[in-house]
Amino acid sequence: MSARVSPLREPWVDGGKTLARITEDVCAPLERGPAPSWYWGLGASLTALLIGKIVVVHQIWTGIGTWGLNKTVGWSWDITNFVFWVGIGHAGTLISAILFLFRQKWRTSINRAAEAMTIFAVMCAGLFPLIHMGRPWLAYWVFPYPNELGPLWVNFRSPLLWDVFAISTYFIISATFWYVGLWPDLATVRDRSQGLRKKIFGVLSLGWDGSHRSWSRYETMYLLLAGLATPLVFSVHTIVSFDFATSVIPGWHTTIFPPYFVCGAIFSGFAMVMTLMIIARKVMRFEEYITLRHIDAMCKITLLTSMIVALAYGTELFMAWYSGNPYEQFAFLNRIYGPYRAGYALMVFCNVLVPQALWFKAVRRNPLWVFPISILINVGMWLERFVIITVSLHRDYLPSSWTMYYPTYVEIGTFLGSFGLFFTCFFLFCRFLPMIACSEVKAISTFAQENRETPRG
Amino acid sequence: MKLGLLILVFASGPLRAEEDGGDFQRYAAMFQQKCAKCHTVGLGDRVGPDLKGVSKRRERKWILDFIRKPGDFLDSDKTAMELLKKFNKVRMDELNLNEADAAGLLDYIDAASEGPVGPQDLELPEPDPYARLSMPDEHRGILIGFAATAAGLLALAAVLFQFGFVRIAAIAAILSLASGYWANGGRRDHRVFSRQQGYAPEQPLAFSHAKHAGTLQIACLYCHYAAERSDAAGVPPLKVCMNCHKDVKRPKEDPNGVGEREIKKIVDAWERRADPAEKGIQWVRVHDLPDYAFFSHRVHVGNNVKCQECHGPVQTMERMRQAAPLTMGWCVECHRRPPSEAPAHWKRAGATLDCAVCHR
Amino acid sequence: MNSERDDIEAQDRRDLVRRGSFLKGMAASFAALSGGGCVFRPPEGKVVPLMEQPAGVFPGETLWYATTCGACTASCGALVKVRDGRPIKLEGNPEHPLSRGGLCARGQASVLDLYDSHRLRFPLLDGKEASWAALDAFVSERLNGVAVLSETIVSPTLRFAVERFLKKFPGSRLVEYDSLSASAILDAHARTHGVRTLPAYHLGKARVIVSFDADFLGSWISPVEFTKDWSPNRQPEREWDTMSWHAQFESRLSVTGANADLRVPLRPSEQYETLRQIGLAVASLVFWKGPKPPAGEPSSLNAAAVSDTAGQLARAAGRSLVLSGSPDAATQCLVNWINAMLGNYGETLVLDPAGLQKRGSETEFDRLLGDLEKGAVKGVVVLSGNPVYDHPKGAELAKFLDSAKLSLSLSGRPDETAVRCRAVAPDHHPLESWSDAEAVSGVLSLSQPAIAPLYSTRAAIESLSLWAGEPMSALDALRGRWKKSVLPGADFERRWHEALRKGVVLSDVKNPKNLRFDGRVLERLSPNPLRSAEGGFELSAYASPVLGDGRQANNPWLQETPDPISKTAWGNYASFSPEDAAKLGIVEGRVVRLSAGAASIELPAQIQKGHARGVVSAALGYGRTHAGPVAANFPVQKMLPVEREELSGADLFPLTAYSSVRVESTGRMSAPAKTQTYDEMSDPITGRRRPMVQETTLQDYFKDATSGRGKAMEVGPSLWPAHDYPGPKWAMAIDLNVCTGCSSCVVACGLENNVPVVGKAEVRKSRDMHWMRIDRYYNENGETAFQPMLCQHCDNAPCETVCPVLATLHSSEGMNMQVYNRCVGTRYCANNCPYKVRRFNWFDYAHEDLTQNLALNPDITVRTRGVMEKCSFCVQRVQSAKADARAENRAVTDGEVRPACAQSCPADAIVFGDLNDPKSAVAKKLGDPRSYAVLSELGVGPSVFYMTKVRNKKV
Repeated sequence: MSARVSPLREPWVDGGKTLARITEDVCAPLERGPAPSWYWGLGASLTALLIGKIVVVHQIWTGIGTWGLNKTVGWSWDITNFVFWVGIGHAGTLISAILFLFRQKWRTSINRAAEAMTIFAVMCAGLFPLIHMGRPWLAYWVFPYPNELGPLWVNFRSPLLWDVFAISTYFIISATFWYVGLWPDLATVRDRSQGLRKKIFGVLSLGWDGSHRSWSRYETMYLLLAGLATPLVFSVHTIVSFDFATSVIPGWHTTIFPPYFVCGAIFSGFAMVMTLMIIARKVMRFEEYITLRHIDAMCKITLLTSMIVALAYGTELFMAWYSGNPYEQFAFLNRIYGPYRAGYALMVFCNVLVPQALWFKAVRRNPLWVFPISILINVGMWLERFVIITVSLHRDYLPSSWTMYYPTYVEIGTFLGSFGLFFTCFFLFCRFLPMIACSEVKAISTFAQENRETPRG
Repeated sequence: MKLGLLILVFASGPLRAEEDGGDFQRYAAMFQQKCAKCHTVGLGDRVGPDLKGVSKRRERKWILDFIRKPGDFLDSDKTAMELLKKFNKVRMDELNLNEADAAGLLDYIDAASEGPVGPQDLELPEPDPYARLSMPDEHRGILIGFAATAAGLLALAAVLFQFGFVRIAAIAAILSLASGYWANGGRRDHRVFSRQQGYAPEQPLAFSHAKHAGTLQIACLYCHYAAERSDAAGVPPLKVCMNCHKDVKRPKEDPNGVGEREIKKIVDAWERRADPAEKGIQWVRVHDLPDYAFFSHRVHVGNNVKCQECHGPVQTMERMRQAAPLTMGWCVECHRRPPSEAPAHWKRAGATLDCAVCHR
Repeated sequence: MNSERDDIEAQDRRDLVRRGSFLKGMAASFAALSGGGCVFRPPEGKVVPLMEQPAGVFPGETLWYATTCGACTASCGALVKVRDGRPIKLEGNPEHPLSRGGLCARGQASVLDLYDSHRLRFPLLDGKEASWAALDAFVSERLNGVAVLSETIVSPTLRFAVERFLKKFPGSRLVEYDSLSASAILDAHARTHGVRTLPAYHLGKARVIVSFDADFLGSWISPVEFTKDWSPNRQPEREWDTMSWHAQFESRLSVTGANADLRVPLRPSEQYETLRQIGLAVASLVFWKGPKPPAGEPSSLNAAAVSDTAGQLARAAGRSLVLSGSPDAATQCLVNWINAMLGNYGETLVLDPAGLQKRGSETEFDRLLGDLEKGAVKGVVVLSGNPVYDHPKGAELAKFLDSAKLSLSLSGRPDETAVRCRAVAPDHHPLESWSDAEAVSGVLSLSQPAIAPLYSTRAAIESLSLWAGEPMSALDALRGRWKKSVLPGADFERRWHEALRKGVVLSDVKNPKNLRFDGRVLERLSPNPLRSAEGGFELSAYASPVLGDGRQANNPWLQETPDPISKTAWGNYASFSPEDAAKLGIVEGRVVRLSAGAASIELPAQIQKGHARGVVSAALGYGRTHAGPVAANFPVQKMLPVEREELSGADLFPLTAYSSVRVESTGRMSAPAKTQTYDEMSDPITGRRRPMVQETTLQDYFKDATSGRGKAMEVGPSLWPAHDYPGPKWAMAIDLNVCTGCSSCVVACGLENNVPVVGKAEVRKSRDMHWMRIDRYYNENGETAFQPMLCQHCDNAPCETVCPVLATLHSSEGMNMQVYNRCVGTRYCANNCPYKVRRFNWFDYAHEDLTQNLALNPDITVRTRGVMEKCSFCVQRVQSAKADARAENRAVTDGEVRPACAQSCPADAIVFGDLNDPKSAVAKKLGDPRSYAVLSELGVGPSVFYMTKVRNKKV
């Protein structure tokens, strides 16, 4: 579709690969036995997952009391983790849907992994609203379904209910989008394999035959779903932010939350994508597909969103002062000078100061720099949610009920477990599915660019 | 039918009547409390004579004095002594009535002798638990909407690919079937704590409501007297059974002697009542609401809700059975009724829908 | 169905637990969560009717009986609520002339003592179960020359029985003592008025009250009566100067001091001199010619306060009152002197008819110990009380109990004294026994049993009369005595039943003696009985309003109710002034050792504003070794690993023999279990004061009735449509001016609503479950304010909009309803509640003690874990009131519905009613310029209103 690439622009795939070579490279991890590092990684994440499972079972059996919450602080790590994971997810959808619509070619080699990340992150996120309930075995009451209580329906005014719909929609759409994108490559793998794998991939690829017709329909559908997914990037975290924005608690009741949360989400999401990609390109030997240019591009977006987040922090403080509302003012002073001030300071350091290093190309193109930065950003973004949720709650209106909150081993274990779930899924994904959108990469490979026939007439 | 009707009249607490409701109801109630266990009006002799048209048989003054001091009369007055002999020496209890009450009671008896008072016969259809599960249309709309969207998406995919169509169609079919199932009721939930409808366990005593409330037409409130003034209807203490069964040791017709055997259980338990080892009659609960649902008998009886409206046609039940589902949906069905649709015999309609009325 | 349900309650609860775990299992194993529905059927329930229903008793119907509260010697009138033969709640008897419908925390909670599964279930002989016959045989041959040791006997019938008993056995005598002794007051009157008696105080008549360490609103002699007297004079809604002026000179911050207009920290050793100076000032003002007392050691008090106080007293001569809680007779003599100079005798305090709540004598107790030493007394019969624990010389007594020929206790519990006795003949619980009480001569109240004795116990009257050889039932003894001396003359039966119905009769006192003050004693006074401690700290041991002298130490509700001042539950602590704490270098929670002579205890430190310097104060009644598992502070919540502490608090009584103690810090820490961790009205960062408590001074109030009512931020328009309330609109008004913080409402609420007790470890985690709490704040001047805080039942409730499953909704009568069985426990509502009054069931709180479960209110669900709960405005009471009204074809009358908190309040600070009825009391309160709503600026529209606190600052 686009014109012949100018020789000035560096190609997005190094090593002047032929199409066959690309197929070989992408399918290699599936076909050759996994590297020992993969086993180590999977083992670690399974351990974390197991720990998480144990503490969650203990908590559900014994009661929420096993957490550190109290009469004043009713949410802390649970919802912090929820918002954190939902945020992580956003980058994937942005990359695969929005960048697709904007024809950003560099997305091709990372979009599938990023989207897989989205799905796993949303799974982790969904876990927390479920287990944070006092009676999780009645969780199905939050869905509107016919019953013989009158019937008795759900409260459509509750932001928590909006969450239910937002998250479930988000999961369904992302999963479908991801799956549809997989079809051509699933077929490729099918054609290269025999036996059981051939059967499985045969079913999964819905009998793809690579004809022009399937291609055109595939692309129509992919375009449609991209369009469907795009608004979700904004809507989901907006709705999540309503949990707080619509409440009366000073520090929660803030109108800038929707954009603030969305940017924060993309910010942390990209940080997480970078973390994963930098590992993956090493472990899966994809340096030539996920090049330093990709990392560079992501760094730029990260830098941008970091600035927006910084702006949001400033605006919050200003509005608190400008509102003239003493409760509001105290809520924010309490973040800075209160018992949890360390958390606030670290948050500002990680989310505002650290990313400034990305102004320098040398940093952006050096994984050894970018990797720690991306980690720090995720730490900072987690802290941001903790500050907003817990630090606002622990000192609200009546001083008589001010308390402190300290996590217990159960909450920490659950958080660990969510990482376990996330990485377990990701490792399995790397091993059993083509981690790079093979067909799309081929389209932008230098080989393809040079050998395309010029349009007639 | 008339008979059945008068039972219901008695069975259902205070009567409604066009003329001077207040008094009339009071004396109707008093009649059940004090007289109904031995006397009927127009239903034939019982422990005592049938009182239909009694004020035509004897002069008013005599009756009034008699019912105020039965003791003295039964020892002195001739007619009274004859009656005593006729009704095998069962002496009438002292009612401690004052003049006004005695007169009021007699007026009530006269009125009742004229024929039925109160509402016409009640239709009491066996309530269908599933009837109330059918949702309001807008809700069904929502679900069908869900189903349609899901099916639609898959259809789209199916159109885009002629291959794999069968699989997709199959999934679509399953989805729509499932949502249809939900839309038309779904599975029955929230029954963890409450008994199933139609629960009719074996009882330690083959007590027949059909016999007592049906044939003998004893007022519900005679045995379950607490229902009028307490949240609990209460299971009658043995003493109440003995009121009659100290005299009635065997039913009139009693093939294969079941009645006699069962009555003997009561009498024996009663005679051993001093013995701590005697555990009394261990009834099995039939109507058992969950601990978080609070139902007040006195409020409903006071509002003239017929016992049968919740407990079903008890007067036809040989063994007690839970006729209604006793689910929340079933309760609010009545509470939701606008006054226009409420049965005529209720005092108030349009009951509150506040949760705290039942859940505290 | 309720009543039958209760019969099988225990059964049901076990099933509930089983069901619960069944579902939990499914959830935990991540099986299909919605499974459990129809596959599951509860086990068969049985309904067993009575053989014969007692006349007038209907299953499931509530009956009220008038009786007398047995929790302390104040003997307040009480109504006991009986449901299906079980007493489930105690409330004040409005017809009782002294308590007038009030009942304190201890009284409220005493119904739980009845169901305490650690009471004695049978007589003991040498510590082993014995038959009554064996016990009587053992006792009756050892009764010569015994001493009957008892706390003050308020029951005339019991006293009569004791006297007959003593007559029967020559050489035996009665010794009365009081754990919270007023002996000094009695001795002082013996010296100044020639009659050893306690005056009857009439605080209601007093315009000026000056109290020295007398915590009369908290735990001194008869707190409920005094609060009822005190509170009406604290309402400023009258013409100028009718609001009483109340000065408190005290060593520690007490509830009474917290409510005083002038509060001066004062060391106990300074009390004598301070009183003397005030006395002299008064003397000059009223031209007192009589003798003057000698000087004591100098007082740190500034002359201004002295002259000011004296001036106030003199101006209100005859309408003033000076009180002292000092254990020193000389000091009490000065008090009598001042009251006499002011002509208060016969007005605000009366010697005849006298107060009979305290008759104990320390000298008598010492004499008894002496005689036991000499062997002049052969044996001891401990009729009531627990002297081994709650008397400073308890240890010495215990020695003799071990060795004496007869040591017999009639205690109903295996307490510290009973376990040292050879024989124990357990007495009934007051709710099981016939008795009477005469707390102030002429006021006789009856106790009647509300339930048959649970265990094989026997009334003390019966035991005594049996041993005296003339056995009679308690009822006969009671009726006999009343026929003779209380209700003499014709138709005794009718008047007896009348008395039973009312619970109290007034018999006028025959020709009251007019006792004159004799000043000559003043010169002979020996000043400075208490030296201010050299090096060490002076000790101020007090009884907290919630646990008193510790006789109810095994009562979980009292242990969990925080002290009104320190807001600390489950255990006592040593309080220091901030200055002393700094000097000692101790922080809150640091364990300190208090020692004097042989006695030594360890307590966590607590830094207390307004505490006198050089004084350490700690509460009595804790550290009991034989009270039961609750006092031993076992984890109430079984499911979590809580740190076990062997005892809740430490026993202070041995130290009370000394006036000063050494204080040293042990390295250890022990965090107190506080329900409120931040004390100030202003926040710590901006120092800006928050307006939840609004206060003013009397002067400003009369200039502007709305003074002190900070400017509320204006409220924007509401997004929601307003509710309309066709029927009533329930609302509550709370007067901050009379709320003393006594916490009786907290206990009443908990018992009425089956609120769980969670134990020390959980309270430490700020997980107390109280629906009604009392916030205690210090303002910038260090003055105290109490604010009862409960669900405000907002019209635009923030909690209602956020619940995803509609578990909390607005009722058509303006209440905010919480539906436990619908709640899934997201806690969003609690987060979004600006008042933080919602409470979450973090665990399945313990209901293992099936005996204790008998006290549960059958009208209220017992919540399982994982659901939110909160104040319901006692909706069950509203329901039953409406049902009653309908049954009688009338509307609910104003004041007919009274939530548990409002009913129990001794200060009548809480008014509840229908706002839609303009004539209702609460509507009037709302119209009052003092009324305001907390956080009204949020626009949530609370249904609870508060009345500005007005301080009567004369200076």
